Formats: sequence, C-alpha cells, structure tokens
Amino acid sequence: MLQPLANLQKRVRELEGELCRRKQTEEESRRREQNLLSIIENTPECVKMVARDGTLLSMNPAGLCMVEAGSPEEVIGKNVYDIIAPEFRAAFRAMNERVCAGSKEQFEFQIVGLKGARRWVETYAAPMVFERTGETVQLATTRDISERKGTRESIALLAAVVENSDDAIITKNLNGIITGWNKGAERIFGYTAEETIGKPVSMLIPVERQNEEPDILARLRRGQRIDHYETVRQRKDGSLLNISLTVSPVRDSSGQIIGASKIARDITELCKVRQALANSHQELEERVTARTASLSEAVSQMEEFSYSVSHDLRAPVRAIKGYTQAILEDYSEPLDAKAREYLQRVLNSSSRMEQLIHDVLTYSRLARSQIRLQPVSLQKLLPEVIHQYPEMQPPKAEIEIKGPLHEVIAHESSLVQVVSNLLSNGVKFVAPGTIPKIQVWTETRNGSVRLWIKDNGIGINPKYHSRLFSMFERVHQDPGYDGTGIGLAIVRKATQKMGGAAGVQSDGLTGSSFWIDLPASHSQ
Amino acid sequence: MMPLKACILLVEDDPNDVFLMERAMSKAHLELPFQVVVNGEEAISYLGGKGKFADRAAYPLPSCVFLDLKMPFVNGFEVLEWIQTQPSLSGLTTIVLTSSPEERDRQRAQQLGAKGYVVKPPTAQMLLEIVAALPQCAVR
Repeated sequence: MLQPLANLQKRVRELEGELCRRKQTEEESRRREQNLLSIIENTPECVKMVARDGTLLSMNPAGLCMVEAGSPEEVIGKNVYDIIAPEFRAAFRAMNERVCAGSKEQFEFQIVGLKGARRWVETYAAPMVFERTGETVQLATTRDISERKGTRESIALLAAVVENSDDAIITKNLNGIITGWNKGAERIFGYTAEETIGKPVSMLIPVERQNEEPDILARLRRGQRIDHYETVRQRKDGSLLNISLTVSPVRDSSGQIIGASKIARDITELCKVRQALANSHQELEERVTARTASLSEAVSQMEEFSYSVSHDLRAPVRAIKGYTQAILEDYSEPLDAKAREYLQRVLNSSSRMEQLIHDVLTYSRLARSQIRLQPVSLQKLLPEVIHQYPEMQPPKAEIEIKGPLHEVIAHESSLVQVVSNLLSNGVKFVAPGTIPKIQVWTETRNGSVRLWIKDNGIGINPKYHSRLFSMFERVHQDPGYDGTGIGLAIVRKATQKMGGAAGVQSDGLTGSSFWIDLPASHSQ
Repeated sequence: MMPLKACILLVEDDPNDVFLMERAMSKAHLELPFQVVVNGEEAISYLGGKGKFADRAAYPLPSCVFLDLKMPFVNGFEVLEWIQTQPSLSGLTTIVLTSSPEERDRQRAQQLGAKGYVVKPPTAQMLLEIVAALPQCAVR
C-alpha cells in the first residue's frame, strides 16, 4: 500500500521538476527570441521575409526606411514586387521563386521607394520555413549600395572617356615603359595596346628626337608637368606626325610618383595650316616689299620728273619771255601797235606758262613731301604773308585781320602757301573798279580752328563749289580773271596733309567766304 | 698770288641764259669785266688757271662766280665742292644761278659754301644787290 503512494509521490516530484525545467527552457528560448528580434529590429540593413507569391510577410525598421514607408502597414501584407524597379521585377520574381524552392541567392537590383527614390541594393536571400503556415519563404538581408555603384559608374564613365577620346592617352612608368594605351593612341599611332604595353615609350620617338625622353622623365621625377609641348612622333608605319604633348606625373595614394599620363594630340593638320598661313604671310610680305619697291621707284621717278620739269621746262619759257621783253624794250619804235600787241600776248602766255609750271611743281612737291606739324601763330603769319604781296596792301587792297587769331598745329611753309593762295584769290576775283576788301578771323570748333577769309569779290555760283578745289578747275570764264586752276587744289591738298579741310561759302553774288580747318594748338 | 679783280665769271651752258644775264647786267649798268664758261669742267680749269686760262691778263681771276647747277659733265655742286678744296679761292664769292626753286638744292648749295642762291631769270635789281655786297666792287 505504501509502495504505490511512494511511487506516486515520486512521479509527482519528477513531473514538478520536469515542469520547472520546461518553464526554464521556455523562458530561455523566449529570451533568446527576444534577443534575436532585438538584433533584427536594430540592424542597419533591411531584413525581410517574402512569401512565394511575393507577399511581404515581415520587414524590420531599417527596411521600412529603405522603402520609404512611414509605418509597417504601408508595405506588410502587400506585394513586394511593386517596390522593385520595373526593369528588375521579372528577375527578382524568378530569384524569389528559386529561393522558395530551396536555393540561396545573391542579387543586385534597384528599388523605387514609396516616395519615388531609386536606389541600388544588394540582397542575400535564403529559404526558410514560415512557422505559421509551414511553407517555405524567402528570408533576405538587403543593403543600400547606391554610393558604391555611383563610384563604380563614374569610374566606368572615366574609363569610357579615356577610351573614346580623340587624343592618345598613354600611361607609362618612371622607366618610360608603356602601361596604358587607349583607342585614341591606337588610332593616332597605329599600334594596338598589345603591341605597346610593356614596351619603352621611345618606340614612338623618331631617332633624331630620342634625347627628348630622358629630359621628360627627369622633369616628371621632379613632379613637373609638361604642357602643350609640340614635337614630332613616329607612327607604326614610320610616318611622322606633329603632336602637342601634355605629360603629368601620376601619384599613388601615398603621394609617391609612380609614372605619368601622356595626352598626345595630333596637330599635323594644325601644323599644315600654320605652315600654310606662314607661307602666305611670307608671300604677302614679299609682295608688299615688291610693291613698295616699285612704288618708291615710281615716286623717285616722279621726283626726278618734277625736278627736270623745274629745270628743263622753264628754260625755254624763260628764253621766250626774255627775248620778247627785249624786243619790246629795244625795238619798240619800228613795230606797229598790232605787232606790239602780239608780242605782249606772247609775253602774257609765257608768263602764264611759267606760273602753271610753278603751281604744278608746288602741288607735286606738296603731295610727296613729308611734313612735320608744330604750333604756328596765325597772328604772326598773316601779316608776314600780306607784307610779301604789294597787291594785298593799300591802296590796292584792304585786308582786315579781326584778331586775335587762334594758334594752330600746321606745317608753316605749307600754311603760308595756303594763306597766300586764298588771299591772292580774294584780291584777284573782284568786279572791275572795286577795291578788294578782305576780312580774316578765326573761330574754334571741337578742338579745331576755322580760319575765315571773306572777300567782297564776284562770288562763286554754289553749283561749282564741289569742283572748285579740283586740279585745273576754273570757274570763271572771263579772261580778266586768269588763274592756273591749281591754287585751290594746293589749298585742299595742303590742308588735308596737315589733318584739316578746306571749303567755301558763297551765294555767287556777294563775295565768297573761304575757310580752312586745322587742329587747334593748346600751347598758347 | 694775284690780287682778286672785280671781275665776274658766269658758268652757264645755255646761251639764252647767258643773253638774259648780259641784258640784266647792262640794265643794271654794271660795267664789270664779264667772262663766260659753258660747263663745270671749264669753270674748274678757269679758276685753277689751267691751259689757256693760265693767262690771267686775258682771263683774270674773278671775285664772283655765278654758277648754274644743271650742266653737262661736271655740275654746279661739283664745282662748289672743288672750290671748297682750293685755299687760294677762299675769297671767292659764289652765287648759284639756277632754274630750280627746290629747297633741297638751296640747302645743298648753302652747305657747299654758296653765298647766294638766285632763281632765274636774273634781274637788274637782283644783280645790283649782289654786287653791292661784294667787297672788291664796293670801292668801284
């Protein structure tokens, strides 16, 4: 009787112990689960479970953040395929199905967050039995690799830039051995990368320029850069090409110079164009020189001509005039009035011839002469001119200077010529019986001085004003008003040479007002 | 050395200009002995007393030379240059008588020692002024 009771009591104790152990185990596993959950909650990477049909079963806060979800309800229970970038969706689905069939997978793809942000992610997925349903689902950790991807893309971009550059981009080490060779280099030099990498860069340098490379290497070792160095290199086929070379030292991450990058641009065409330009420049120079020579020859011939004119043309005129005068003086008696009149006409004509020669010479001398400009006092110059010509003085004429006259910049002897021509015209072209009255004054206008010479003469019809200053133009037909037609051409030429101008105002009835403009002198 | 006489030498190749000079002289009533040579070479012979010109009674040394510039063979400038090299002619007055009103000729003549520069034709007035300035003629 006692034995069964004792057994029962023992069994109860055992059960109690068992219960206690179980409780402890349960406690422990709950604690462990709690720990695991805590790890999952706090890991910076996305941890999620996806059912075979794509339903998102769970996702930790890091994952919610990655997909831009404000709360778990926005994504959990929904289809995860919706947040996979469309171009990766099919591949993701296939991957998910493989995992759920028991495979482990790694996959890089892009997601589009609920707010639209795209990012590159990398996922590690493994199959796992989901307790609640007993089916196999995907358990995955996913990390954001956008930054790494960006770097890789920009490196790829740079590599593409280098590869596709029109310029040859070559790298070499400090011993001058080629370590890199792009498509541009292949195109320019004709060698492929296989033919050049590992070979000395001197293979590109023509024999007569081999000494350039040691110098370039020495400068590179000192850390110097060589910019747009124009030189000649040799292609695979032996032909030479002009290049512009930029060589920069390349350093490793510790700053040590380990080699150089060379950028070579084919400037053969440029050099050809430059040479053509230089040639045509040279040709132009030669032509200018030749033309200048023939021009100065023409000028000196012209000068010789003028010089002979002054000597040779004058001598016969002088003789005609001299002998005619002698006849009129010595043999006046035996000649009748008509003969004397004819001789007088010979005399007048030869005087006119003399004057023409004189004026043409004055004009040509003026046209070819180099003049030096300096301040000239009109106040002083005008009375001196008048003093030289009796016909400009009382009682023959009255010239009133309404001073003070402004000082001008001019060539004195040319200005004397101009002023005396204008004053001579003023006293010459008056109606018979009229005493010439001339007024002279100056006015300033915009840094120049205008000298006015106003007469009481016969005037000039406005329709002739434009022709008045041309060579051999005479606007008065009356033989009483003789002139060579050169005087005003001289006035215009001389004022132009002095940086000025000349003109006239006249209504053709009440006299003329001639003017000349010259730069004002500020030295007064 | 012979004393200089108040005599004029005209160096002129154009007979017309010789005529005009003679006429101007007579109009000015200048009764000076008057010699003519027709080119620069002859002028140098005359002034240097070479050949027939050694006869100073027939060809007296002048006190004044009127010199044309443009002449065949030896021109007026060359004659002026030669005169400058002759110490015995230092008292000689040289007047250029030319067709050329060119400034460059006037300047060159002056540099070569010409005392006057007259553009042709000469006039009585011109000659009187020149002769009045000659030291040997002033006492005439």
